[in-house]
Amino acid sequence: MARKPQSGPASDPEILILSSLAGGPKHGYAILADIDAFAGGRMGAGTLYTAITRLVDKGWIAPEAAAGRQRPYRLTAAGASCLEAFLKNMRRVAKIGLGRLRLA
Amino acid sequence: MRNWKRHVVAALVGLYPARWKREYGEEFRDVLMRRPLDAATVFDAIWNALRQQLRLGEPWIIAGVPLLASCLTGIVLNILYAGAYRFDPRGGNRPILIPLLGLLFYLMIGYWTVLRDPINGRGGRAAMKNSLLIYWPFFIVGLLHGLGFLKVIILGHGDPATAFHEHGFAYTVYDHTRRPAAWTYLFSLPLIQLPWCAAFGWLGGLAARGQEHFRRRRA
Repeated sequence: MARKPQSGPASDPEILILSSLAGGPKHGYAILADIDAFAGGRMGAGTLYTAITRLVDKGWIAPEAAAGRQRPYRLTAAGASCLEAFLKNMRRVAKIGLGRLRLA
Repeated sequence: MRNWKRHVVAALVGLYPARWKREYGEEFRDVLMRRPLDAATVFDAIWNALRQQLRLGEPWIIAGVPLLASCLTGIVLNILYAGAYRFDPRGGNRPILIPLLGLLFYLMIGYWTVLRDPINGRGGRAAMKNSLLIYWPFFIVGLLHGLGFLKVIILGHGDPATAFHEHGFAYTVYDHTRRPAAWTYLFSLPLIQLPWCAAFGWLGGLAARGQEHFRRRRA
């Protein structure tokens, strides 16, 4: 079985969370609402917090001071550069794929 | 309705490892309370609890729960359908092999525990907890027998097993010498093997500490 890459976002939930936090710090519920709005579909709370745990461990997002029962998370510089690199790569792949679809 | 939801959410959060709950439990509970609690959300929370348990949970629980389930299943099957367990005369090596595998298992539990948490991990203690977790149903069976709620049938080589409708609530023990007190060994096994668990768990932990020490020196 292929191992998850250590250098880039490993799965869709991580990319979605990083993309959501690129717009500013948010707490868990706000991240879910944002993802629902910009990506469609629904992410489960369990999936969200599993991905948040991984992203915090990798140092790509960091918790801020708690506001009530919720704690906002912000994108770190390392997380921002990882997301940027991943999205640029995705854009390149998407451009090639779409170009080839048009030719087909 | 809200009260009912609170109980379900508390149960779902309770499935996560303690270390994870200390960090994320409160906010996770809050998010679950604010979202609709449908089947997909419950399944998602359970599935991710399993993932977190495998990632952060204590090895004695991770390894113990499936074995506890198999122990409970075995006891229930033994009581309901003892005929499924035939005394196998060819299984002569098993009395040696099974304890040996058990000790290797406790060695692994100790190793895994210390590897996961080199500072607070205690291999011997983890192996003992694992043993007690797996074998507590046998305590209950022994207790029920002692209180007279459960009979014990001791079968030797060639003895036919009886079915539930014939023996009622009875636990069948297979012992080729047909010793009348054969069941006492089985039901006191959890206590008898505790020192061995502690020793082999400790050895496993020692191996993990040695490996960690060696790795640091190389780094």
